Parts: sequence; C-alpha cells; structure tokens
Amino acid sequence: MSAAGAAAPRTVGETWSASQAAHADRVAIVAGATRHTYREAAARIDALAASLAARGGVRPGDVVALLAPNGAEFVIAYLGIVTAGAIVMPVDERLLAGEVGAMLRESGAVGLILAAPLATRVPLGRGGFPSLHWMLAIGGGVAGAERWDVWCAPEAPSEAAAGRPRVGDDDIAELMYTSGTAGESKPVLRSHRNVRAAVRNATVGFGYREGDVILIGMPLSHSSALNSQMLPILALGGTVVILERFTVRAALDTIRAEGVTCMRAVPSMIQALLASPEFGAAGLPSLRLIVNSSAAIDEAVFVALKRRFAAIEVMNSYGLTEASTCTALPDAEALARAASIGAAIPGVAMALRDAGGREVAPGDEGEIWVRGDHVFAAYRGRPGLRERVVIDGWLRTGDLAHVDADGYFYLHGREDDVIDCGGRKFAPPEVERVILELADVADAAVVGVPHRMLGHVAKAYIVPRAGAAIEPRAVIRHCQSRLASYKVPFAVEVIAALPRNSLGKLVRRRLQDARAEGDAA
Amino acid sequence: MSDDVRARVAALFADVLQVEAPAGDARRGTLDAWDSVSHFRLVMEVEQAFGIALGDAEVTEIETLADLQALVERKLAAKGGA
Repeated sequence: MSAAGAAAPRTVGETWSASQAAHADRVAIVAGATRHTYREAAARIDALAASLAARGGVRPGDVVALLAPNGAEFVIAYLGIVTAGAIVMPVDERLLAGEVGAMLRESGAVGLILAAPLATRVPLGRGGFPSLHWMLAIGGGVAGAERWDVWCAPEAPSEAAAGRPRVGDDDIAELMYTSGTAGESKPVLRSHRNVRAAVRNATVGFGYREGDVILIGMPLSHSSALNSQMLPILALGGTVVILERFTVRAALDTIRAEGVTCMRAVPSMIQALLASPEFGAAGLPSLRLIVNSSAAIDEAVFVALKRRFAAIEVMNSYGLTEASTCTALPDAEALARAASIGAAIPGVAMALRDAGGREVAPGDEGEIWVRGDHVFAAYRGRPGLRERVVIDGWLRTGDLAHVDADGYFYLHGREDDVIDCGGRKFAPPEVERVILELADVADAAVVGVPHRMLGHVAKAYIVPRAGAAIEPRAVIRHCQSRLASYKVPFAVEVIAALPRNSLGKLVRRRLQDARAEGDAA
Repeated sequence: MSDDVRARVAALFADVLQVEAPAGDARRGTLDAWDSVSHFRLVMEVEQAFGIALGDAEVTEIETLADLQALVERKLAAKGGA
C-alpha cells in the first residue's frame, strides 16, 4: 500500500499519505452533497497542514482542538492536524460551553478549528485561554476567527511540500477525553503507534476489505468512529460515508444510495433501525458487515439483529478509550455466544485477574487486563495516573467479566459500578436485565446508594413504556422472585429518560449525582 | 387499635418477605426469607408505612415478628398516634 519508493508508514499521516497516493482517483469521503476523491481530499489536507504551520505557527507536539459536527471537514481537519505533526483533540459537539472551556484550558490547545454554528460552545473573552493563539471557522464567519476556505485552499502555502515535520511513531497523535461514564473524564494521549495498532486491530478483527464503503453515523469525535471506522477504511482505499446526524431514514437511504458495505452502530441506533421493517437484508443488499460498537448490547437485540441479517456478518466488539478495539465476536458465534463481547483479536493480549493481580479460572469473575500496542501512552497533565492503571504493560480496564473455556469474554459491568451490600458484591447489569423482563419497563438502570447499616444497597431508575404505569413495589417483588436478596433494589424511582452520552452509553455517575443532591434535600 | 397495628405489620412482613400468614413467633434465622438484608428492607418499609424511625440498636434487637409489632406499637404510642 506504500507509495512507490516510500518507506513503510510509521505515523497516521504517513499511512494516509501512502493510501491517497495509491488510490488517488477513488472516492474517499462522502458527506451529504460533498464528495472528495483521495486526490481532492489530499490537496485540502496538505494545504491545511501547511497553513497550520505557516499561518498558525503550529509545531509538532502542539495540541489543536477540533469542534465540528460529522462532515467532510472533520476528516480533512483531523488528517491535516496529524499531518502537520500536531496532536488532534476532537471535542464532542454535545458538550456545553463550560465543558469545552475546561478542555481547552487543560489541554493547552494552541488553536481551535470549529464549525461556525458551534461558536456559542466556546466561552471566549476575558483572556480565558492564554494558550489559544488562533481559531479557524468552518462554514461561516466567526468574530476573530480565520477562514477555513483560505487555509484549505490548494493554492495556499506550499511549505509542507518542502519538508514534512519529523514525527515518530511514539509521538502523540490524539488527545481524547474519556466519556466519563465511570467517573471523572480523563485526557488520554494516544501515540501514532497506538492509533495505528487500533486501526490494525479493527481491520483484522472485523475483516475490513479494500474498497469497503462504511457508513459512519456515530460521532467522529469519538474513538470508535475515528480509529475503528474512518482510519481503517481510508487506509484500505475505501470510502467513508458520513451522516451529519443519525436518523433511521437517513441511514437507510444512504446505505442504498451509496452501496454501503459495512457499518458500526451503538446499541440504541441498532434498536432504532430494527424497529423499521426496511432494515433488513432484502432491502439493503450491499451490506455485508454490521458491528455493534461502544456500549454493551442487550443479548435479545443482538440476536434479533443477527436473525434479521442471517446471511451477512454480524459482530460484537469491546474496547475503551485507553485501548481501542480489543475483541471481536465473529459472525459464526453471533447466535451461539450472543452474550459475549468476543475473543481477543490476534495481537491483543487479554487476561482476567482478581484484586491481587492473579489470573482467575475460566468461568470466574475477574477484571479485564489488556496489553498491546494500542494501549494508550499517557494521561495528559496527570503525572502518575497512568502508572496506577498500567502495570508491567498491562492496562487494568476496571471492567468485570468472565471468560469461557474457548476464550470468549462476557462483560459483567464496571468495577467502579459494583455495589457492595453488606459485604456481598454484585454488578448492576444483572439487576437491570431482570427489571427489563417486565413488559411495562422500557429502560432501567441500577446504582448503589448509601445505607446506614449495609454500606450500600441498590436503587433502580426506571423508564416506563409509553402509556404504562410502573408500580415500584411490583418491580421489587419481581426482583425478589429472581435475585438474591442483597441484589434486590431497596428503592425504585420512575423517570422520563436515563442519562446517556452521545454514544448511547449510560452515564451512571449522573444518576448518582442526582441521588446525592436528592439526599441532601 | 393495637390489633390493627399488629395486623398491618404482619401484612407488611408477609409482603416484604413473600411469606404467607406469618405467625408471631416467626423468627430470624429460622425463616429463609428473613436474612440480614431483607431485615433492613422490612425495617425500611415499616418506617415508611408508619412514619416512624427505628434506632440502629432497636433494629438489631428484633428477633421475631412479635418483637417488631411491639416495637412499632411503642413508637406510635410515643408519637401520640396509633
């Protein structure tokens, strides 16, 4: 795949450069009415990389923040930043101004590329960001910002051609904040080696092929969309088809129109798609691969997906910001082991260990430890924090699971979420699954709440189905009939919706925060 | 009035522990459903149903359904209700 005469790629920028040289006339990016061939995209990416250095003063190792919705500009900005040797910090467009401000301050970003409609998310003024030297606005004018069209114009500076910045595989490519579903959001630094290993894991694990056309409906600002969707497909000379916003209608129409061959989606997207009779193999003949992403999928939903697409590959996977794409559940096991997150992808080492770091026997619960080139390089500005979770090269994920005799892992929940009731521990998903057996329950989450004698007890938050009324006592009685007494919720609260992040992942912490505020009242 | 309180406590006891027609001498340790966790669940529901607060020591001293009934009666009397 390398360009003739070029050394094998060692960085994300070099990987892109080799691919665009080999596939210049193929379509690289489709987003709405925008279509770029590899050649066209490369011209913009090179121009942006040169402008970042010449106009923005960006040097290798600088952080450049990227706050933009899904679109062709996001891909160009991401690749332009890493090509310039800088660290790209994608910012989730759903964050509020205070959260964006905190990330800009903590990261020390020297520049910000932002979509003009999102300018209100940036709390500028009063010198709040001393490190921020410039802003570049996509799609419209923003006071004090440079213009995207100018920086990306192919006739813009040519310094890049004269000499690319010297960046090695251990230099940092990405700064990604963890989703904070388990606790405080942490700034994860991933080197070019880490990112390229994650790309390799996804390519090997999911079997992406040269020329694949992938539908990306998940936010590009997140690890999965970047490292396990966009970058692997671009490295293979395929086409990334980007939805600015996921809707069932847009997804179905785009799959048909663009001949999409593969897609990854979070469970809530899959559930929404399954509600449409049009989401099936008959109406979408180009699809050959669907992979669940980013959150645990309900076993029944996964089975329903596989049954709907009996003749194509349906897979599950597991990964985290600190170690993107660790496992794959192959299609052949989709029904036989529907509850599994899969086995370690070749090149990834995984083990289950107890609190003392000793490996547990198959069938026993342990914490997932992961080792491989994809394990992150550092937490930015948090000295000593990585050393607490990476021991002898093994990342302690905090996720609890068991493994069967054939090496397939089954996720139980987060160690941080474990509820210790009078010395007996259990993970909330087990209780949630039992509550979801009730026909009137649409969604459920369980968290630990303090108890004066038992330490903690379970509390359930329940979203009823439309038109249904939930009787808390009936929920508790149902749990009593199915679970050990220490796992049965002491309290049940009916709410309109569970707090979920943009990937559909439950943010348990927000329920606990809400509870703490409620307790104080 | 006292019979009514005792009956209400017995009904709660039966509901929370999912047992039928409990006798007053139903005892912790001999009734499977009445384990250390369900004991606190029972206490919580009794507190909520009668609007009373039981002290930690009082809670740990309850050994039989009759103990719980008597404790509730005392608490209600002290409240001036019942």
